[in-house]
Amino acid sequence: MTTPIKRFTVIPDYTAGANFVWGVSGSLADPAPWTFQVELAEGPDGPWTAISPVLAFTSVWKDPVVRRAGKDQVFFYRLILTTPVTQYRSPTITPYGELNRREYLLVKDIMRREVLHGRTLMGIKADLWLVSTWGPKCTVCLDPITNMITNTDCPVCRGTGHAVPYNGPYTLWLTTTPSKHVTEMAQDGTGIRQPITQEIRTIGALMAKKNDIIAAHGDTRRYYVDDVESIVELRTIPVVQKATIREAPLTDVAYMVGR
Amino acid sequence: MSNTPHPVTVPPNGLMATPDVAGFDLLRQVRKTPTVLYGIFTELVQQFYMNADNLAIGVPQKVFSPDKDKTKIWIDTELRWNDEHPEFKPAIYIKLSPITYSSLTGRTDAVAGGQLSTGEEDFSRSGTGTVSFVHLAGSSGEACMLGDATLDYLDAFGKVIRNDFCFTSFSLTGRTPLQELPKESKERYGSVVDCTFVFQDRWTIKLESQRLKLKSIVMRAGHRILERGIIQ
Repeated sequence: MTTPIKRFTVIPDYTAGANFVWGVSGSLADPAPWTFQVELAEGPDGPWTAISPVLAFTSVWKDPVVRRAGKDQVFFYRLILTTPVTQYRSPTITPYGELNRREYLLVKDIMRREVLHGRTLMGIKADLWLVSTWGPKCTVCLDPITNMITNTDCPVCRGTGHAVPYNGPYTLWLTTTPSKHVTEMAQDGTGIRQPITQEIRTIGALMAKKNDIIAAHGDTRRYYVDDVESIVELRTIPVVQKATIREAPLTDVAYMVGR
Repeated sequence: MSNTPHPVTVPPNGLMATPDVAGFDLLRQVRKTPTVLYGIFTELVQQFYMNADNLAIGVPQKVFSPDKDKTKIWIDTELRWNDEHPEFKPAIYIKLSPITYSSLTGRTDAVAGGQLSTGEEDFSRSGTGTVSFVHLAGSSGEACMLGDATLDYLDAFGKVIRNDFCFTSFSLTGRTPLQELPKESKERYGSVVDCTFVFQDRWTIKLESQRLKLKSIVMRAGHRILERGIIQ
């Protein structure tokens, strides 16, 4: 069977073992609930041992244990997705993912320095909620034929079209550029605007994407992530990322998330 | 509807007896300037969205309220919002295309006839324009469904609107199901309903001396737009 798990990778984490990140094909239409579990084995064919708890719908898991192995020993990981219909397995990956051991440690050190810079100099602590772009569909507001989202204030999907609209929050350190305020005539013919945009920089352990939500600790404002750029990357593994964020209006559903 | 009569006070001025102007206080009797047209169409859509029962089953229940804190949908005229950070909800804004004027008789001065015995000249001007009801929403589906609800309403009540507001014609002429709009904090989509309207303005000027002293201009139904002037 072809697996719908389209990406399962290990991202170095400077504080713990590793971050496991995955995505599932948007065409998978199995009903909720979906659960995930990360498994480990000492050989590519097993035997497999579950190292994570059964995870409710999410796309990331941080392994709190630093797993040590002998010089020639290699761990293998895989992800199990269980839906009410069946069970799917991801392809097997090695502990350093797409990196070799030296590169893995290098990435880990760059991330550590980046976080240190944020924590001790000019960074702020913030929460990141990842918007769902795949997963079980909303059963309340989607058009049954076209799957169009008919209510942007839907109490279930919050206008995302997915039964679990956001997952998180994940705490991260980020540095920001000064915000830019430009008053201009809106191009849509409605009137005057002063869009507030800022750029943020953070480590790539958890890659942000468009329409994710960011809220700084101690700040009531919430921001939507717009363009995301991986500014340091090693063999396709993001190390440092930069993103443009836009302040959400106070009545936006962004303020309902996590409350 | 907005065509509900409301009392007006016309001070006696000696030029025109009060009975001549009494009763001419309906919106439909006012000259259809763009300001009046914006008011008519904005009010029409606001009235429709004030009652959730007007919306078909399946259409998101976005009810309009004049109270900005309670409304679930903005309904306003184009270029109206001067909020630097508007609280985005689904919105409908009313946009007028340029209005084209023509004369019924072909004369550029709009003269349509006159009465030599009384010194009155009748004028008539016909105007044609398009009003667009632009629906904005954070998802394409919501914009399209709100557009469909407005389309249903304006098409079904086209004749009533024509009669109530004294248009020569008012009809649905176009529908743009979906268009992408410049993003704000995130993407927004538009869905447009276009209606074309034709109206006719008529007025009379009475010349009371050979030196062309102008005493009054009376609109078709008694709406006065000018008093006491002199045409050189």
